Formats: sequence, structure tokens, C-alpha cells
Amino acid sequence: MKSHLPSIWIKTIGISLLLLWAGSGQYLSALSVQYAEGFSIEERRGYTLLHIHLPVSGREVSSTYVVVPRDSEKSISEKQIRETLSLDSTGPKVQFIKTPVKKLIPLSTTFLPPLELLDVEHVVSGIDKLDLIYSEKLRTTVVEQNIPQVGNGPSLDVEKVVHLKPVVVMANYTQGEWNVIPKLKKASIPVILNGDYLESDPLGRAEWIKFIGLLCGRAAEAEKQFNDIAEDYTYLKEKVASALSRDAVPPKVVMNRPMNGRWVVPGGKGYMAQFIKDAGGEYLWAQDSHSRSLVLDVEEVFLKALRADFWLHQYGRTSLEDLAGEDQRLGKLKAFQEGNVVNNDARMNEAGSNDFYESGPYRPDVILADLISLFHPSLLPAHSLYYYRYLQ
Amino acid sequence: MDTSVIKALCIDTGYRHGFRSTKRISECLSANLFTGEVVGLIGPNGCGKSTLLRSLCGLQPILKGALYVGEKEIAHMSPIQLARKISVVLTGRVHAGHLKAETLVSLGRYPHTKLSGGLSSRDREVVDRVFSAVGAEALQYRTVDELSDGELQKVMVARALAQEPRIMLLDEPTAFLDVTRKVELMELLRNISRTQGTAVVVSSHDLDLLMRISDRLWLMDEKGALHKGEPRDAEFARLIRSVFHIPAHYSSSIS
Amino acid sequence: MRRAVVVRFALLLLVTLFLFALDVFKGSVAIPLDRIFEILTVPLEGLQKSGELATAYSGERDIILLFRLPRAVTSLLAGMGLALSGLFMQTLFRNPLAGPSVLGINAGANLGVALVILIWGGAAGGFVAALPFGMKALVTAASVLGAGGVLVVILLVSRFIGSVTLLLLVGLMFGYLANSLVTLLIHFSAASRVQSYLQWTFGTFGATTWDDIHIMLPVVLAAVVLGMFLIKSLNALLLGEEYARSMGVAVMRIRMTVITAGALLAGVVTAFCGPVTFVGVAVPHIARGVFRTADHRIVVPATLLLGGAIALIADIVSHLPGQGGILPLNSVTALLGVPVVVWVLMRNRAGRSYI
Repeated sequence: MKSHLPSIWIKTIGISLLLLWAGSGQYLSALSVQYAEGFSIEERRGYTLLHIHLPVSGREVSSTYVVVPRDSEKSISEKQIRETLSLDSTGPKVQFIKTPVKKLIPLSTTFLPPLELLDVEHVVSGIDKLDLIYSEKLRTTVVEQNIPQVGNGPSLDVEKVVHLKPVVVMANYTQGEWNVIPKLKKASIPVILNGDYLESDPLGRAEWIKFIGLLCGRAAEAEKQFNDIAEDYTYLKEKVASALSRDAVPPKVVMNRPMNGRWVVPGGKGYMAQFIKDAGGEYLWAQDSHSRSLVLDVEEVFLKALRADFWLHQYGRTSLEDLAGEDQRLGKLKAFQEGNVVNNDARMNEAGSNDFYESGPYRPDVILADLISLFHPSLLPAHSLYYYRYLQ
Repeated sequence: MDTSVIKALCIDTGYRHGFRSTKRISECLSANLFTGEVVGLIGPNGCGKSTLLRSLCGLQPILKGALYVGEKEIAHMSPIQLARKISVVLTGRVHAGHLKAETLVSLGRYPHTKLSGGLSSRDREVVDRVFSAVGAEALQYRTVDELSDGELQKVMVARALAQEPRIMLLDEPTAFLDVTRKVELMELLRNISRTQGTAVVVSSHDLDLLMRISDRLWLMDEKGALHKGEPRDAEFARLIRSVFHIPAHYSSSIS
Repeated sequence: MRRAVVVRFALLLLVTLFLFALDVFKGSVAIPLDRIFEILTVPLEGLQKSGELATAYSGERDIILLFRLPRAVTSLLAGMGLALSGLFMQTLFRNPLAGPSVLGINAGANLGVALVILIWGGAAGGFVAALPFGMKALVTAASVLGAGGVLVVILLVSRFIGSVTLLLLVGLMFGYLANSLVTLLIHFSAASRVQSYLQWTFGTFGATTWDDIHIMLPVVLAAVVLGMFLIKSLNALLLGEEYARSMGVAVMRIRMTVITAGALLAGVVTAFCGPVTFVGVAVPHIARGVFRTADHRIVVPATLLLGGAIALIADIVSHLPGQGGILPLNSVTALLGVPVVVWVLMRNRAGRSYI
């Protein structure tokens, strides 16, 4: 016995070193989530726990995925993991995903840009509808490679999806008719929830690139890209902050437009409100504490909107003439009279898909730059509007 | 000779379905209706009595032939012109529960009132008069749903009278009434005819009563043909019996 | 008897005027009464206001003159129009359940609008509906065309169908057809667009500008005048089309006129306010109950006033401050109106039909 001890120690040390080395590899990365609230990552030995917690209409929807690297040197079996996590064979809401994911069907177009950014578009095996996609590159890929369109919501063609097995479907969480999860579960197709659009923090939304990175074996690359974007964003934000402290005046901003006697505006804690604040604007509902949109009487909003310096119209293609023609009262708004009405449709194609909602969430730095050059043009003289354009 | 207020010259009655199919009920009927007479229209069920009455007052267009009301052809008369000459009482209980009897009767003034529908003093006078003519003064301010079947029929007759017509056509007006009310109504019709000179055509299954009040009878057989005769004519009585398939030994006023 | 009628009318008129004023005074934005009077009575030029006061004042002035007043006028017109349309339908079809939507006219308008909101502009991208320009004008036009299209078909059909009950059934069938098509469209549309369409179905009196009223007012007024001329015939129709004919009514012509007037009213109101339910069916019953008569010489003006009054009440309630938004009009109309109708019907003894 005594003579074996040293070799056991050597083996233990050797194996530990091996594990450490494996741990620093692609699959077991030290991903941390700083801004996003909808997902978190927990590293374990041999596998990673991906927690999703989405606030959906007052409730919290949680899901946990056990991400297991496919061909790592020391892969732990599913059985062992279950034991570790003390789960029985009918574990609640825990799904096992093998990474990198080989075949993915992203049902929302917002899942596509991070795939492109991380160079893993080849995993796309199916999409909702071609018409919904803005990215020319992806559109061409879909057409050339005959990637099937499976639809979404009530028109999801489950058969087509089954045909593509083994495949993982990535979907938003929805309720009612648009909830595809039960249908897919019945067909034994794994579904991953993605809640990127629920984030109110612009950086939080962009951080979901790490989510995709983890699943597609590009965690390190995702981390790097996100850090770059976050740095740029923070830089811009600080530039604005210091300008404001030197007596720059934040312009008052109003958003959206009246419809059917109501005017829906984003909540004070929402995504756009955050952008406006970071860009040095004074959002007229900044005091509000909701992250969801507010449905208000057109009167109420109009009164405030009269004083707004900027109007982010954000509601489909139009022109100043058309706006005034539809409702001449809108012509009384200060922003209208001074020609400071902008729309976010500079990158919108014929079919109506808008890049602001596709690549936008993953380039908050660009959106911020756009807004800054609107509100405080002197700070970014060289920037030309990317997503936004002035209405003529 | 009394002037004929309605003259039917070889008319076909029936329905037109769409553009092609027509259902002919009676073919080549000719008849005259004279002032101040009461004509009883009798015949088995479904032979076309209602269709005839409806055709005579313009509710249904004739398929062939010429129909004159007074001097003019019915096809050349406007609804209002026609309404000033002919009024009707149809079978069945009218659904107008909320109306006051007086309001219902005053609707009969339609062809005479001005555009707004308001009643002149003359109109109101006529309404009062017809209520007494039918002996229903007590009912004038009651609502229709409070009236019994017999009372309602009287009111409907009053309404028809309010039109101040020369001719009244009644389609089985006594169908739902009890014996006393039947007699009452029929006698009323005869009175109206006598006192106002109104020509009345009334169809009914109450042969006895009709015989009693009618000056003439129109008998329609199963083929829709019209036979004209007088109530006390034995020959005609035999015809009636055969059309209705009444055995000869069955004793009734048809003898 | 006449005295009671006159008194009731006078009261009704006063109540309606009061409600109109209330609708202008109360809204989501609190504006003091004296300020409102100032706005309504003194022209802008004659006022000396400076700086902050001027901007605040001009804002409030805009609210009153450009939002509240049009909203109150629209409520009044829409209420009058819908109620009259309902009355026409109930008398023509001798059916107490009839209303402006009974000929499928509203369903036609719904279909037109659904086609525009749910389909136009290609696929929906993103989370906010990418609605193309001129949306409001498009929706209005679609509503009118949809209603008009169904109207034309109904008129054609009514020429050849004798029985008015059959016509009612045909209209109902059109309604079902149009509604099922709308459901189909919803099924295949993106959630954001469905949200847009849903908002439209709530109905509102607050989406109209003075320009819109320039169209709405003459149409409603024309239909009302037509209604006045139809009173006599409508009364005759109370006994049914056969008796009416025998009394001298040109039944086919009246039928076409009533249908056209009723559909025009339903179409124009739906075009500018969305599908407002309940008012058309309920108000004629309330009018008949309150005045205890079916004589159209009284019921037509009563229906007009009551329709306006009820629409104003619904508008006021749906815009009460402190709700964090405004309540859907269609919910308010039914919530308020149903108890009233039930009370009126009970009061006039069960079993007594008004048609």
C-alpha cells in the first residue's frame, strides 16, 4: 500500500490539472452576467447550469438548462449530473442541452444577429418566415440553402420541425395561442426560451449574446464582443454625463403617436426610456416606475408633448405632411414645427422588417450614438444616423 | 245598375318565384263587385281565396288579365290612391301589443294625413266615429295587449274603416273568435255596408253566418275556379254542397 | 297626456345639454372651470398672457378646443346616429333584437379594417407594428368601403327577397361570414398587429378631429332629416309590411330608404369611432319605455336625444381621471346600459312586447 501512494497523488494532481485545463477551454468558460436580468450562468464541474427567469405579465417564468459539452475530454454522464443535482428521472423543468448546438431553429428574428456576429449561422436549420428577416446576408443564405420556413405561433408547422430532428427550437415565452412550447413538447422537440426582448437595460439586452455564445460553443468570443460593445456604450454614456454636468441642456423627448384616442408611451423604467436618459435627453415620463408601456389618454400626452423638443415617432413609414394630414393637431407640437421628428425606420425593407428591432438590440452602442447625435450633436460631430432618420 | 267598384277581367292569380317559375293558383277569373253589396267568399282550404283577396287589393300582383278599381287599372294606381279606395282586415292576431287602440285605428288615416303623420281635427273626428261605428268606444284608450281577440278584431275593422274606403276586403276575420263575437262581427259588416255604402268581400268558413249576411256568394272550388251565385238559390246550394263534399242528407241552412 | 310628453322631452334635452357640458369639463387632464369658460368665450387675440403662463394656457386651450370639444360632439353625433339606426332596424324588421349591426354592415366595416391593420404593409417585423403612412385615413376608408360593400349587396338581395325576415337572416349570415374571416386574419397575424386591431375594436369617441367631424356631421344630420320624413311610414310599418302596403306605403321604396339610412349611419359612425356596440339596440327600447309609446313621432326624437345622452355618459365615464388610461368604450356602454334597459323593461311589465 505504502508504495502506491505517491502514484495516486500524481494521478490526482494530473487529473486536476487536466480538469483545470479543460475548464479554461471553450465549453467551461467563466461567463458572468452583469446587466441582463433574464438569465444567469452557473459553472459546475463538467457542466453549466443556465438559469432563465423571465418576468412575464406579473409572474416569473423560470427554466433551467443543463448545458453539457458534447465532446469534452471529461464529460460527465447525464445520470451522474442528475444525481448531483438530486433530481429524479422526472425532473421539473430541467432540460439537458448538448453544446455546441448543431441544429437550431430560431423562431424570432432577434435571435439571428448574435448568430451572425458569432459566425455560427450555419446552425440555423429553420426559420419562421423569410419576409420577416432584414439581414440581406441571412436572406440569401436561407434562399440558397433552402432553409425551411416553419412559421410561428398558431401557424407553426410542427411536422416540418419534426422532419429536421434532431434540432433545438429557440422561442420567446408567450401564452395562449402563440405558445408553441406545448406543441413542440408533444413532438419531443427541445425548446430553449429566450427572453432578450424583456430586458429593460440596453446593455442587458445585448448581453444575451453570451447566452447564444454558451449554447453555440462561442462563449469566449461572445464575452469579448459584448465587452467591446459595453465599453463603447459606457464611454458614450460618460461623455454625455460630463457634458450635462457642464450645463448642456437635456432636450425633452416624447415617443410614439396617438391611435384610436389613446397614446401609448414607454414606461419610465423601460428600454427606450433608459436609452433616452443615457443619451442625455429628458424623457417626459422618466418619473414613471413601470417598465412596460403606458396606455394614456391622448389629451394627457398631447399636453406634455407640446413642450417636447424631440419627437421619436417610431411608428412605421410616414412623412411630416402625412402626419399633419391625418391629424392636424400634431402640427402644433414644438418638435413638429422645428422639424425634430425622427423615425427609426432608416433600415426598414419593403416587406416591413425593421433592422432596429433585429440587429438593434445587439448594438446598443449604435442606437445610443444615434440618439446622442440627435440630442447633443456637438458631442458626436462625425456620426451619421444609422437606425434613425429625420422625417421630412 | 250599381256601379262596379272592382272589375276583374280574366285574371290569373298566383306567385312568381324568381324569374322563371310561377305558381298559378287561379286561372282566368272574372268577377264584379258592386257598391254597397256584401259578398261572401267561400271555398275549401287552400283553394286560393286568400290569394284572390290579396290580388284584388294589390298586395299581390296578378299574373295575367286586367283588374280595375273604379275606372282605373290597379297597375296604374299608386299605393296611396289604392289605399283611399280599398282597405283590408287580414287573418291572425296583429303583434302591436304596445299600441293604444286609438293609435292603431288612427294609423288607418295614413292615406289622408299630411306628410308628418300628424292628425288633423277631421282625422280625429273620423277616428272617434269609427270607434262608435264598430261599437268599441270603451276600448279606445286601452292598449292592444289588453284586448281580447274579439275586441281586437273590432278595432282592426275600425282601423280599416278609418281609411274611409269604398271597398273592404276581409280575409277570415272571424277565424279565432267565439260564436257570439263571430255573429257580432258579421252583423257589423253588414251594417257598415248598408249605412256607408261600402262594398265588402269577406271570406270565412262559417257558411251559415255568411249566407245570412251576404247579398251574393263567390264560391271557389279546388281548381281555383270561381262560381257566383245567391245564398237562397237551390241550384247554387247544390253546387256548394258538391264542392265541399257535404252529403245530401246533412241538414243545414244550405238547402 | 301631451303635457307629460312635453315635460319629459324638456327634461331630456336639459340632461343631454348638461352631459355635453360635463364631457367638456371633465377629462384626464384637470382644467379648472373658470379657465374653461375663458377658453370658450374669449378669443385668443384678446388675451394678455406671458411666458410660462402663455404656454400653459395655450396647451390647455388646445386640449379643450381640439380634443374635448370634438370628443363631445362626436359622442353626441355617434350616439344619435347609432340609436336612430337601431330604431330603423327594429321597426323595419319588427324585431326587438335588431340593431345597426344586424345587416352585417358593421361586420363588413370590421372586415375592411381588419384587412388593413392585419395585412397591409407585408409582414410585421419587430414588436411594434410597422404601420404604413396614412393609417388613420386608410382605416376610415376601409371601414366605409366594407360597410358600403355589404350595403350594396343587401340592397340588391332585398329587391328580390320578399320577406323581410329572410333579409334579416341573410344579413346575419353576412355578419357571421365577415366575422369568421376576421378571426382567420387574426389567427395568422403577428401579436403586435392583433393588439392594434383589438384597440380598434374597443371603440372610442376620442379619435376624431374637426376635419373628421366635417364629414360625420352632415351625414348624420342628413340621415336624421330623412328619419323625420320616414316617421309616418315607420308608424304604418308597426302593423307589418302587408298592412302598411294596404294603407298606402310604398313598401319596397321605404325598405330601401330605411336600410340605406340605417346603414349609412352605422357605417359612418363605425368608420370614425370603431364598432360601438349596444347603443343601437338598447336606446330605442329605453325611448319607448320612458315615453310609453311606439309612435315614431315621439320615439324618433326621443331616441335621438337619449342616444346622445347615453353616448355622452359612456364617454365621460371612460375618461374619468385617475385610471391610468382610458376604459374601452364598449365595456362602459354595456356596463352602464344593461341595468338601465332591464329596469325599463321590468317597469313596463314583463311580457309586453314593444315590437
